[in-house]
Amino acid sequence: MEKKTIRETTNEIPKAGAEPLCHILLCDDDPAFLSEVSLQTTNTLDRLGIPFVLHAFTSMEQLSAPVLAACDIALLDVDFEQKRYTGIDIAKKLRSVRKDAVIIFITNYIEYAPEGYEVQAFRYLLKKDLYRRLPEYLQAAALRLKSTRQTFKIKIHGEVIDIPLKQVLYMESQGRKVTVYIKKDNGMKEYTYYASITTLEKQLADNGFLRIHKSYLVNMRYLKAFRHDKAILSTDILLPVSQKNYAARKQEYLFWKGC
Amino acid sequence: MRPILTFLFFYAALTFSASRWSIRRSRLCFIFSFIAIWLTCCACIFFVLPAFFLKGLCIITLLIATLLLFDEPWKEQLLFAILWCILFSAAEGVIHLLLDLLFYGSSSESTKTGLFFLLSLLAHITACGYFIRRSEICTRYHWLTIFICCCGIFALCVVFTPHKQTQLHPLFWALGVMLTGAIVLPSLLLLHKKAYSAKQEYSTCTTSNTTALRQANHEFMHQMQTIDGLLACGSIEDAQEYIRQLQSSHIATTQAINTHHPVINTILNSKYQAAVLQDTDMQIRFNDLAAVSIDTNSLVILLSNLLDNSLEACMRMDEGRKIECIIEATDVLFLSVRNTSLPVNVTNGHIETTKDAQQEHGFGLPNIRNVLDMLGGEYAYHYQDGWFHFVAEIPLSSPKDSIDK
Repeated sequence: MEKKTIRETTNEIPKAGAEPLCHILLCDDDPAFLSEVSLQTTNTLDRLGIPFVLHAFTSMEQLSAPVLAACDIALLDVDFEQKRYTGIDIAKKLRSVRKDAVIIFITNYIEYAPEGYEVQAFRYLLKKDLYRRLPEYLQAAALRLKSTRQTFKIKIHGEVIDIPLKQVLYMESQGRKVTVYIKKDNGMKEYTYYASITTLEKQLADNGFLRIHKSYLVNMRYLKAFRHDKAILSTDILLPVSQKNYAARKQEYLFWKGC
Repeated sequence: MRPILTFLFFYAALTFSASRWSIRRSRLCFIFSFIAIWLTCCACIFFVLPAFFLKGLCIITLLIATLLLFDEPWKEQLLFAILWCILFSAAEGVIHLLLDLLFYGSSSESTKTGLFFLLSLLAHITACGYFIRRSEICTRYHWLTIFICCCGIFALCVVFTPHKQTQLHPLFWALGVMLTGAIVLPSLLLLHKKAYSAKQEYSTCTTSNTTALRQANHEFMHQMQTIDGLLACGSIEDAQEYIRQLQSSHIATTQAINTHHPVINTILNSKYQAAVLQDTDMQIRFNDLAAVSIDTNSLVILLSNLLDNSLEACMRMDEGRKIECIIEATDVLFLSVRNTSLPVNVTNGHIETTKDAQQEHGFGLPNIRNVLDMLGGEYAYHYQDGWFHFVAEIPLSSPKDSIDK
């Protein structure tokens, strides 16, 4: 009879306006190790002051759709004994519903492969290094999560709209107005409002936005190619590139991509 | 018509040879060939010109050639150009002298001219041959180098042959030979220099990898001896405990990283192993790299040097040793190596090194830059907030941009 463990732990209920709850998913077929990871994770997040809900499982079958959909950070074992799936398969399943979840693989033997890249693994952690490395990995994951949750406000006809930065493809300046192009599952949505693209450039400089042209501010996460004559977005949109400061902009893009 | 044909000859020959280095130099060679042909055309139009003008023309051409083809400081370039000019002038003088001595009053001017041409050509081919033998890069293209040499001479002869004149003035031949030499020999020297440098670097990197493997083997033998000793003493439990410890620590196997590219696998695995041994947290992110078509030498120089530098930088840290490496192949190869490091001064794109002995670390960053220039890559590096970061983007193929906005 297979021993199964399903646990749910939470440290606090966030107050209105406070940092949102962080849903942590743990999955490891070794219940004893799962307990160690849970304890270590709880201690670390408590110390960092991050409100969280922790979901711990010993097999993929126990993972429900709502748990996967809510998951922000996943700590997944790679090798599941006597199972046909691996942690990579769980990561793929998670990725299909949560593209922005931060995935950390925990394993006895490091096996880097392109599959890890496909599911955008954030870190690989050796089980023997759990106590030493997990806190810093969790801290880095929390920072990554925070950056994906950032929003910015625009005011259209007196109404303030909160737009998640991760959804913004690019911004285009047209005279005194700026059009913000938002990526949606079924295409693109645009908002036009009065603003200065130079002000926006300064405001969003630390959020992965790059001024590629006097009229265009691009979200680098969607930048597929940045060349001296044009920029290509992952949605196959072509944008013009200013020759002025091209080298500096390109360096900025490369450094951002390498972080 | 003839000047245009000559120009095309030069342009094709120079562009081909230049394209083997980088796009920037190819463009420069285009400008150079244009200037050279323009000047020779001028010389052709104003046929009756004093000899010193033509000599001056040669020197200018030579200066431009060395200026464009070499990365050395301008003083060295100037010295190099003057030396070559003296050498060629001396060779020309010696050949003339020998011919005059050998055929004094007994031969026509045309015989002497013909022999002068043949000897000059022979001297050039011998010089080319010397560099070709010494250079590994251009071995496959040696026939083309001779072809370029001959084309140059032919092209210049065409330019300098006046209409309805069958007898060529020896000066034309001399100028043709000198100009060709001015173009071909510095190119060969550059190739030779690059090949030598690449070979040295490749050798250094291979030695470094071999040393790492030897260390791992040595450690393995030591561990086996310990287990053998414990079992011989009957301490089975201690032996089991020791094996468990080894299992958990010996994670950096040669199969830990599989990028689907054998050369990159070898480099990454050996460096990863080194990182584990020196207690450095190394995180690697890559996609399927099977399609990376960059030559082995360049890959070894690039990756080994970058990772060696980062490992060395981490070694100097007491704690917080971290390396983050990204290798992504799409239409371009994106390479990023980021590591924690003690403060590094990057001024005007150059690092003020803290290394005591440069020889210990191979050719390092200058060679990485050379390889990236050769591959037409864009790169940058900086030190910020305790991290040294090197990024590069190397073109692999022309992306197809079929969809317009």
